[in-house]
Amino acid sequence: MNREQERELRLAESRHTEAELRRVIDILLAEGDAVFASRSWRLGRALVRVAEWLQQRLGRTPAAAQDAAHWRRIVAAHDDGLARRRALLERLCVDDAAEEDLDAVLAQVWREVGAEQRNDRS
Amino acid sequence: MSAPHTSLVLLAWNRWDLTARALDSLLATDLDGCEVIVVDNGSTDATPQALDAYADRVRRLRLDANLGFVRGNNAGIAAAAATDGVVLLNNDLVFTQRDWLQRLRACAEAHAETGIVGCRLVDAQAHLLHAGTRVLPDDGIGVQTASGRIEHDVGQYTDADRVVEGVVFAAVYLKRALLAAIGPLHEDYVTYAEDSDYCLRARAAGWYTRLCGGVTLRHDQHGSTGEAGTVRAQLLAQGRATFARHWSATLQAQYDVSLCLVGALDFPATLAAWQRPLARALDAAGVRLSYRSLYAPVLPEAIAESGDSQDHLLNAIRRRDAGADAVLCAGDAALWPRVTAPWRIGYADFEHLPDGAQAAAIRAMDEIWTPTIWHRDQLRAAGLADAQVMPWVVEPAYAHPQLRAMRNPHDERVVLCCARWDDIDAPWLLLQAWTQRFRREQPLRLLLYIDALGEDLAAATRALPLDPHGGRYSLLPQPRVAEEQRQAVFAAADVVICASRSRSRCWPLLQAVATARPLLATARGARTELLQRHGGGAAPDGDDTNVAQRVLDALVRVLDDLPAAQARAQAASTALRAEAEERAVALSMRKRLQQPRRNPLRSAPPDRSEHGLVVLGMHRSGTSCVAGLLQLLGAHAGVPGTFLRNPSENPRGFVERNDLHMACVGALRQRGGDWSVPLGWDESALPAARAQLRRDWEPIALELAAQAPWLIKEPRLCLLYGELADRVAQPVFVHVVRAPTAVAASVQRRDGLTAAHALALWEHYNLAAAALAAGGSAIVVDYHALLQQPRSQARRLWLKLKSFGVRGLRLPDDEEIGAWIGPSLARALHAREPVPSAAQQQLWRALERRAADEAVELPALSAGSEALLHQVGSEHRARLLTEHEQQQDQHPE
Repeated sequence: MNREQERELRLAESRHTEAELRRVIDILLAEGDAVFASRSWRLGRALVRVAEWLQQRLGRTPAAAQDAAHWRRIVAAHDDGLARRRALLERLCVDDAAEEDLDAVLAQVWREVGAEQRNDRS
Repeated sequence: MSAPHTSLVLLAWNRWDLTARALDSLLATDLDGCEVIVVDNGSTDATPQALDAYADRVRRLRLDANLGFVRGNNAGIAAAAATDGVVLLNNDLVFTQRDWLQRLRACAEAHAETGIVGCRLVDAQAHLLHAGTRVLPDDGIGVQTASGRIEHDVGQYTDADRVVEGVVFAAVYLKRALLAAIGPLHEDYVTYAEDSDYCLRARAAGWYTRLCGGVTLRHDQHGSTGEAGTVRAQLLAQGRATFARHWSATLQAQYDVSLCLVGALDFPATLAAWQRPLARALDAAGVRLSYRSLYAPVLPEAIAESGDSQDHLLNAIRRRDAGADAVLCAGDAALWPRVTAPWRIGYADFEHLPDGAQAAAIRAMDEIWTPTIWHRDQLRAAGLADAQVMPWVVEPAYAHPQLRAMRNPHDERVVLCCARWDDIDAPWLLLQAWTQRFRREQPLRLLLYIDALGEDLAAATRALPLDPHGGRYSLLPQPRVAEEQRQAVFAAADVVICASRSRSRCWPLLQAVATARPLLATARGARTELLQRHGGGAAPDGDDTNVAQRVLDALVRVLDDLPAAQARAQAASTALRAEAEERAVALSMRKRLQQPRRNPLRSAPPDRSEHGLVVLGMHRSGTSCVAGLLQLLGAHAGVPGTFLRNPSENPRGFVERNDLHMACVGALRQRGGDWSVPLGWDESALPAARAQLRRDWEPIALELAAQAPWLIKEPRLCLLYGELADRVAQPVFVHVVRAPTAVAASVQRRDGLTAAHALALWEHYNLAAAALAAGGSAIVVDYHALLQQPRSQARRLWLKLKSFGVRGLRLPDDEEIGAWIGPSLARALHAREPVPSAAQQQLWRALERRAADEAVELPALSAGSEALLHQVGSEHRARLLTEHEQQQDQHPE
């Protein structure tokens, strides 16, 4: 096996791992959604709101809500990080000596920004 | 009916399709008070008949035969009835701007002394073809853009009308008064070069030529001669020859002072960014400029300047004889002592006050220029020099508020930060501060435009603790783009911030101000001066820890009222582009060069020690990489072109003298050995082999001694250096080590040796190198550590060599180190096989500790490896003997 083949194999392996992790994260998020939507959770949440109201009366700031949106935001941010790293790795493999068109490079950056925003909304 | 104020003369020769397109688009623009004359230059296609359909809107002038561009246009000029001016137009133009003529006329009328007005021409793919012409006296070739290339159209030259040497007459406005004064086009010309001739004739008569930046027309070049390349080439050559006859002497006489720039037109790129426009400006200001790379003596061939600067003028400057009586050294002052000339000027741009070799170099210069008052005052306070301030230049045509770039279409404000991935700019601190300061929900994005300096940014950013709910950001490693696009990235930003701790890195600040982007930066050093003089928000200076936070505090205030900040930025841009315009700076330099000079200083010879750096290590251990690094540090490796080459084995070069390599190969062969046969040599052949090696070494040593400190690198020296040791006065050993598995895998792949043989060689070579270095000045360099931390390892190497008393070396800039030891090397896969023996693993651990400057004993050569290498040696000698006998049989004496 030559270097290129080995590199390809490793890339394929990491892509597969990423897809698997994505699947696990989706399952966990769905499970989380189910928990957050459950009657017992909503009941507990209602009790916590009372506690928060009391805390606010005492001048304390309650902790951020650990709801479904909170976890989705974290996952989205990590996804952005992964996408950025992938883009950086791709740029690392660009031929240093080759000249690029700035507008094409910026267009790619803005496409990634669009994908990030869509990911947030989904 | 009153006479028209302007006559438009459109010259056509066949290609009715183009003429029709040009006419249709022309007639759709504002042409009040104009007449349109189509000169049919003896067309033989449908043109004569098809023009009938336009008879109510254009005058037709039919010529019986094709008289060529000049006479055809002159016929049109003669027929023109206009009172104010005549516009000459090609039939391969497309008029995409309705008010183009009004703008051309306005430009002409705004300046009484302007006789000729041209415009920007672009092609169908939005490339800039023309923005004024200049003919170089060197080759008589005219260029139509500053670079002489077809450029990306980023809106360059659109900000203002400019005086230029000439314009092409594909679309040109000629004042009637000028035509009356100097007549029509010169009929010595047929086609080509008549336009440059006319502009120079106008200038000689006191008229200027201007480029109207507000007009851009599409020009599908060579419409008439498009398919006749040979004819076009002939016409072009004929035009150039005629032009040379008329103007060669005049163009040569434009220079009245000469200067050799010893700097960096291509590499390092950070220096090239301001030296390229300066070089163009100096040439345009009448300074006959020539060029040499300041860095050429220290750059390994793989990263040396190629000689093609992608710029016609700069390439012409490169080709000129460098024998000017004054040189301008720009770049690392430690390299200035290598430059000799009757009058030596140094351009001192520094982050910290120079000391040591750099300070001595500054003192030894005849004259010092600095980019800012801050730099000047620093030198003055230290008693180093009394310098002249010659500011960094900006090219207003290429850095102005109307510059275009692809903008973020996703309703976010873009905050741009240009930075280098190093400890001074520390962009990772900004990134952390950004994600703490802003929230993900805010429509704000930090675009970090990073000069990675060879770092693997994906790896470097992996461990950064960034708040996942924090502000959004995009990381963009700076791509290699055409020169005209370098500033265009600022046009993609709403605000520019700079959270660097630098005192002197001002290029991004200057570009941000020139492109009228609100700028926020920490005020320190030369930057304070720039921010005070040219606007931009200054975050208060303080300690280094909170730079990013302070800049972001200031950013929040700017974002509260962005329109006001933008208005201030516009005003700052106008002021900067007037003050730091490249031509004004070039004229100041020229004036300074013309002044009488005092007696030049007797510059002291460079302070160099006699040391020789001997790079040792097993093959495939990174010795070439380290040798290249030592060359960057300033050690003399040999004359370019005399190094060993084998691109398939090492495309970046071995940094290995061919003569020394051949001497070592011969010395081993003569004793019945080889690089892979380090033991079991023919004892009887040793004396003769040693004597030959010493003889071969003599001329090499002579050449090296003249250039000390020098370096030699040849892995075989691990086996042979001992035979030359008494001939090297002050050796310093640089022992390069790499993990046995990686080396053995590489050797196996390259040479097909067995794993055991490759590992035994690794063991033997490293122990031999360590033995040679024992007791002397020596440093061990771990190749893996070098790839992972090139800058800190380079610094360690430099400091260590200094501590050994080696003088005449320098610490290369991060960009140089990054270019030589880049991520392409670090990407090499780590081998998992072959597995070294326990003794070899023990040796590797000891070598690693030595590379970390620990004093540790090394084990002896393991018995297994010794036995194996002796066996290999005896087998090799037996094979040589057999071969020798066979040769004797075939060719008996």
